[in-house]
Amino acid sequence: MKKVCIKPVFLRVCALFLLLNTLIGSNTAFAQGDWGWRWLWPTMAIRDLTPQLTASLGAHLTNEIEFATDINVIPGPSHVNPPYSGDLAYVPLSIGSVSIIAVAVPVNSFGDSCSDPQTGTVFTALCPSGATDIDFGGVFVNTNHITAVAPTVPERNFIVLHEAGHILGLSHSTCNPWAILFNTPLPPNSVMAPHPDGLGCEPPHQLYQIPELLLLQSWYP
Amino acid sequence: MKTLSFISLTFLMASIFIAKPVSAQDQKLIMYNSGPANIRGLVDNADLVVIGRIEAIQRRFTFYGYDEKIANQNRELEANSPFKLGFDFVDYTVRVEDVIKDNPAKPLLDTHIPERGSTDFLTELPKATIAIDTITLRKLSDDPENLGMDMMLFLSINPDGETYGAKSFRDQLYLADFGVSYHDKSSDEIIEVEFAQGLRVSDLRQKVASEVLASQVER
Repeated sequence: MKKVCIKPVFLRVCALFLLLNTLIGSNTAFAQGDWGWRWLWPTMAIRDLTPQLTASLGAHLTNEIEFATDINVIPGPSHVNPPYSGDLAYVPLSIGSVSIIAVAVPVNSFGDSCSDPQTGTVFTALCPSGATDIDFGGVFVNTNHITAVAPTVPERNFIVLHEAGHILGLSHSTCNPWAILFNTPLPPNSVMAPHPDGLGCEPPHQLYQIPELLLLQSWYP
Repeated sequence: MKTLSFISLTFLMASIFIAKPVSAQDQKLIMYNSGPANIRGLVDNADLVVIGRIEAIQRRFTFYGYDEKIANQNRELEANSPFKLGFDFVDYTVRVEDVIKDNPAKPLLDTHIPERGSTDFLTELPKATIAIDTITLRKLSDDPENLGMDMMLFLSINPDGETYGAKSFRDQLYLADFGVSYHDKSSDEIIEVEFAQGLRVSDLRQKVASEVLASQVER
């Protein structure tokens, strides 16, 4: 009798999981760059909390991002507690010889960060507040790594623009030079390439490319 | 009834999963360094290249960084923001079995060169013996522990001048009879390393030693 019952229960549970997966999947299956719509702020300020460490960075970010968006780079200090007012903080780390080059943390108005660390997509189900519009972001750069591995200004710019791109809503581009044929939104080897080295991504671009700027323009009209 | 209970339980578990609270402290988008896919690049980036066994955990701790100014700033920032800026680290003791590239600033090898004029000078080659056979490897706590494993490590000295760390995935190679591999933390996969395919560990050691020598000669 038991054996007879197990099969229908199993099938029902399978169907349930399929349904749940579909529901959850509808929140996670965004194409690359799809979550920029979550930004509700018409303007955003990038606050460089450490201008003494990043003298060249502010101007570069201004030139790059203001081209496409209504974003201003303002030298620090910044307020880092709610309400965040759409700020982006640049923060250096000094954590030595580890494989971490840089970290991006997008935060919503409740202080939650609900992005999937693997894909960069915002996952509604991970937000206890349910708010998926990002109000604030932090870009953390391991300065020990930069000093030893990526000492040049272009490489530094690649790292910071890449992480700022995540905060703005861009996810990774591909290293595949034929990607453009498959209608992916980001160009290959762009500033959103997943690594500054290896994986056939060398040399990555140091600036946002036109498809990325068009995406940003559409998100920040 | 049992079916209903089972389905209800499943719903309950699913809702717990979906509603799991996640804070900014947990969710980070990280850019990792996978490292150069060739031996020369790994050798050039390393202060010390050894074969050794991850022997024991010394301590676990939360760390805000080597630069005191930045560390203080980040402690303050953490207290006033949703960001967790302290990183959890583990110090491991590594038993060094072979030194392929020594760190001149902190040598593990004791090199004996026969004295000029001595009877041994013309017949005896310089000898290097391991004088210090343990080092401290500092890793993030969410890296694999690898306790008891034999590894080839391309290490960089930390700013404290005492401990070592690995700056990329390929800086930490697992040595096994069936192949040489590394852990890709971004995908959580073990990947066979490109430049060691089909090589025995002894052959790989020889290739790395050759690149170390070539690198030193060029400098």
